[in-house]
Amino acid sequence: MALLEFEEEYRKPGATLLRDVFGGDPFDFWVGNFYVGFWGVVAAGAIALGVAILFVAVGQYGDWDLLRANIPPPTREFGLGPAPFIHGGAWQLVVFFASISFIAWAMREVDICRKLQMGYHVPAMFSLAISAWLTLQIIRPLFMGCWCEGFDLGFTGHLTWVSNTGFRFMNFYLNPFHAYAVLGFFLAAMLLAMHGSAILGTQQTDPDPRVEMHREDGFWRDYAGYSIGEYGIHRLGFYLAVFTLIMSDLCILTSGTLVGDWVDFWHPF
Amino acid sequence: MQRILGVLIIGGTLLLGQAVNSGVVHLGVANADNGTSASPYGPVDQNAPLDFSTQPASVPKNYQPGQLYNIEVLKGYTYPRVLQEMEAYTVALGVGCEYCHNEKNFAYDTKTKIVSRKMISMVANLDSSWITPVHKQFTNYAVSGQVGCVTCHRGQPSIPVEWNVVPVQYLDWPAKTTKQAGFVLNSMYSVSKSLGVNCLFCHNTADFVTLQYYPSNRIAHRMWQMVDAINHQYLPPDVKAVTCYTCHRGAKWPSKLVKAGLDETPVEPVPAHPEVHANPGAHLDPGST
Amino acid sequence: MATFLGRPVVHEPVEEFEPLEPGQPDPLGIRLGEPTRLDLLREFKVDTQIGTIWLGVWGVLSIMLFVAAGGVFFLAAFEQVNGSLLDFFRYLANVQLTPPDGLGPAPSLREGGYWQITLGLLVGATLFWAARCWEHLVRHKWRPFLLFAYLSAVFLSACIFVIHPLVLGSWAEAPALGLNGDLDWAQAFSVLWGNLYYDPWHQLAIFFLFGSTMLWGMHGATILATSSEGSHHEDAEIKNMHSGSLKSMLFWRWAMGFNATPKTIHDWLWWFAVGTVVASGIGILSTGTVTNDWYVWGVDHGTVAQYGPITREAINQRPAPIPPEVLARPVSPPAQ
Repeated sequence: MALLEFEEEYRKPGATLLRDVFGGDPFDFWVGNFYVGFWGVVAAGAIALGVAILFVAVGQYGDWDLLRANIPPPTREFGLGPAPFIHGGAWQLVVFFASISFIAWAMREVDICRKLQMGYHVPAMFSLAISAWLTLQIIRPLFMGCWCEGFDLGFTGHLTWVSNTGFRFMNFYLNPFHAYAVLGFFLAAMLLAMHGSAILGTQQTDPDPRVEMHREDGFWRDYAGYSIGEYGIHRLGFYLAVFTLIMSDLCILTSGTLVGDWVDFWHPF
Repeated sequence: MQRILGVLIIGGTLLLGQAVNSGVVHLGVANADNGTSASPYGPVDQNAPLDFSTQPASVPKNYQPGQLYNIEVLKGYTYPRVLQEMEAYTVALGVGCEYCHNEKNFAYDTKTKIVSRKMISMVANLDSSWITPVHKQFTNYAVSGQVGCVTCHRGQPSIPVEWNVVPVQYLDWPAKTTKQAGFVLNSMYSVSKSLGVNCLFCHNTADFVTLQYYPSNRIAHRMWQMVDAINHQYLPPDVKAVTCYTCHRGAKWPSKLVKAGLDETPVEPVPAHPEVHANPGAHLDPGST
Repeated sequence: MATFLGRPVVHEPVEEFEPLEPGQPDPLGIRLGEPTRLDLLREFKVDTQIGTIWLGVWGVLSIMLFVAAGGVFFLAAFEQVNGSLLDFFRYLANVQLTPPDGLGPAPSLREGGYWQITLGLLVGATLFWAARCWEHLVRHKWRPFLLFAYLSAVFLSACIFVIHPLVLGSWAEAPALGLNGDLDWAQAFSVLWGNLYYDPWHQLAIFFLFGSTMLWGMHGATILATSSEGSHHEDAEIKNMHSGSLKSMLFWRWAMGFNATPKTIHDWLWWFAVGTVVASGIGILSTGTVTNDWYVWGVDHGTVAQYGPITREAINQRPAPIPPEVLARPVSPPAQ
């Protein structure tokens, strides 16, 4: 893991949250390419513990196949309390440590942003992504009154959960938040293709950067009548991702709590 | 600015859902038809003259009360027993004797009386061909009791035709194209609303096609065949079809079952499937969706 | 100066966007009108110039066919709501043009004719738009990434609306045209073919789809976070990296151990986006051909746990014709 040629001048101690709050940070170093920091230690610890419990649980359930292995949440009778290890306790522990590790990862990204004197946009976006996990596994089960509402930890197992949850609410396509989220995902894919094509398509040898900008702006104006600009496209993509994630959170948060039947939502019996 | 947009989007969506509330066709359900089938076999016109030329020979021109004439379905019943049956019919349909009979001549065959005969034999056939075999095959899932007039009619002469969608006979056949599968799905929604359950009550959604081992799934297949038989063999041609809702009225089991002549019978709750818990995310909310 | 978590907040410089030169007149088309400025857009920090747009032969043809398709759709929709404007808006999501059974021309307009006409017009509009895209790529000397991306999306639509129905022998396998009609198709398709979640191509497509949104979050956030140092001038940065790009690379290197460059990140973006639609298309094509039931396929290939006894005869019965005596029965006793 060699350093990039300019990396040396950026690898300096300081500017982390811990140092600014407590005056010192004993974990302010790198291991290979990875920055550690206090939050890196927390994340590494949580990941190690979570993975260890994962392995023990999968061993107890017996199916080691990577795709079929599944750790189910507790059943309904345990409510919001702790469950025995085989009957959902493993799930609870893994979810707990996974959540800790995700949040620690985001805080570590904050530390890296502070070191590099960048805006906090990346950890902000990652926090939104974590919010989807937390909504599904923690917040919604709390609202619904039992841990059984979380999804199974398993490759195809979690897909079966999605299928069952969708049909539990009769026709999940009719959830308007879900529809907005799907729209957001498809628009994001399209926009991604457009932006990628714009940059990759204009890789020419003309050294004058203003020529490139006009070739980009000029193309989009001819083709579609509007060019959002090289700064604007990144704003659009960023906020589209934000919108999509918020809609996703809302779509599952309202199912089972406010609405029990999404077909009925459009016409009460 | 962004905040206003966000509020507008979310608020607009919620408002839209409520605003198109009234009269919107159920999404995905083609011909949901809410109402009652006003029966053409309504109360008998007591002032109409009696035309004996079209009547069977057993109908007497001078009717004597206290005698049995023109008995077809209730053969072998004594007079008091017949009266007992007739009283049960009046309670079940919420009508008086004059609804079916011409009171000057109770033996006279009115249109309503002819239809009633079909109904009575239908009830007997439903019990023997469909309900009792289900009891025997799935002792854990069925409830005791049999269907009677009151189960469909519930004290009304007309039956409701809510959720009147789709070829019931197609439900029991593997769908041929995606378009046809769409029709089946629409009827499935009508079945769900009629029984007050969601898809998970009968199905393992991992695979609707091959995973049909839930007892409720097998019972449902028999029930569709029964509904098909009712609609095509017993209902007169000018009355709209019955659906699951007609008997079930939004409950897993019809609440008005009869038992040995009683109008109501206490029913035992239907237990949840043990298979459900092995299926990720397949939680049945208590009661309904 | 504003601070956030102890660090000063730096606003991006407001750049003046240079106006477009009108350009040479071209016999195959015209640049329409004069560019206008919408100053409101400055609030959103995007380009304020609206227009000009190029009106070329391919674009005009494409728009004409698209408008015609829309016209046929609305004609059929109004027929479905019996001409009532109020009902049209009430049931807007429900109006749908359904495809006919079989592969030939539809027996009548209402039983699939409208669907076929509208789809034919849309196919034409799509292909003419592809020609427009190609024309502009050439004119502005772009490499054809955009065209391939567009064609891969067209490939997916073709799989769903044309190729899959042709392979299975009936237009009724294709979606209806309409909002809820399309959603019903998605639901019915998955139910009919044994739950598409277990189709590995579908899984790959979802991976690329969620990955696309994730990459937007990552790339958009990275650029916005370093835009005060000019990282959004991506063409210039690819040629000669300045501190913004360097910091972007280091951020990801320190966070996850590896990084892309200002150029290669766009490779990632492009391949994820195109991978979404191409994998979806292959998933659609392999449904009904490779297997009739994706759950059973998954159980047989060890990817899915078996949840209960499987009735394999059920899948082999498809497509099974409904016996004529069942078809001959009236759907329900006729309404009074």
